[in-house]
Amino acid sequence: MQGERPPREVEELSAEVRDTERVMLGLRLDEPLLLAGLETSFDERELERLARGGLVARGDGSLALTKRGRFLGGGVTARLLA
Amino acid sequence: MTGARHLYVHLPFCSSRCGYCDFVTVVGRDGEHDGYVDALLHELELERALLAPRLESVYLGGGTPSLTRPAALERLLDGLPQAAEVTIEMNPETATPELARLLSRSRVNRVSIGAQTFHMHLLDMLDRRAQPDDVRRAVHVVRDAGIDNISLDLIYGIPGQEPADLARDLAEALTLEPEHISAYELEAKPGTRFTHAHGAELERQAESMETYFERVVETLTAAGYRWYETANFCRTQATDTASICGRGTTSASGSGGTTSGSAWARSAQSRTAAGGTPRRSTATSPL
Repeated sequence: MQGERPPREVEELSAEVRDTERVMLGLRLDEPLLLAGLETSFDERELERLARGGLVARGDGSLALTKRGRFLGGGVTARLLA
Repeated sequence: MTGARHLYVHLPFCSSRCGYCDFVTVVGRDGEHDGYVDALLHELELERALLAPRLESVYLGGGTPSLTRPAALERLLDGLPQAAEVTIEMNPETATPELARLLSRSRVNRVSIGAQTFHMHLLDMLDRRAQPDDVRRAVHVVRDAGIDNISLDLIYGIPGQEPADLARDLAEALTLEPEHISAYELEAKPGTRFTHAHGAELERQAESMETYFERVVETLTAAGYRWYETANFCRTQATDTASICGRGTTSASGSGGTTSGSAWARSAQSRTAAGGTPRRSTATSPL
């Protein structure tokens, strides 16, 4: 409409959503995800289970999906965040 | 105060709607390109405070941005803020030397070509208008205009696509030596014509898609591409910088796209950090 501002949507990301997104997006990349500040985002027991299953690899303060984990992709990340 | 460093601009016009596409597109409103660009530029002025002084990337997705009438497209590109990387999505059949030169002189330095597949029967299945030769021609036309950062979109998991078809698609793509390749599994998006017609078939073949995905990764990494993101690959012999392997350089628009891939790309591109508070901002121009 002439003279009217177009609709605009701004979403403020809460700290929790921001952390979840960091994990979801970060684990899609081939660089390890730095875990600083994300300690409470993971289900620790699930993380252990996935590591034992060879789907995630823990580094010094970081986490990455293994090749096998990357092939399974979103499913592994969903379990980590559950 | 920082502001958004990545800007996504949507150009919805298409000559026909592909059955699998669930993006915002319009067909047959050719007379409205100028009005739409006017609205975009006006809106940009209104929202300029959201943007960082210097953008890292501008991404023109669609729709079919390369279908936009040349004068309107040039006006839009001239009015957009400067950015280190400016990408436009191009449908292969729209590639002409004139368009490629227009893009080049308007500071576009990356072109994302929606190849999807090099097989005619699979292009037909996707309702794509391009022919396999159009893809090859588009790559050469863009390179001839001096744009040396090309991305090819591929889709796998098209009903009727045999493993040998995928192997040939990958080989064809590699022959063209693009700097970047996106390979998305075809997804049945709710409410699309494609899902209505072929949704059940996609479900049936879901398990074999893992093998297809592995074939994609194995082939492209063996050819020297870096699998830097789930669905994205960049040529490692090219300079390994953010401009090629970066985040914010992909959009699933114009392809089937995985849900997460698409969401990732859109989210990464639209994220802002104004005042230190992360925000997503979506502004929509009326059509």
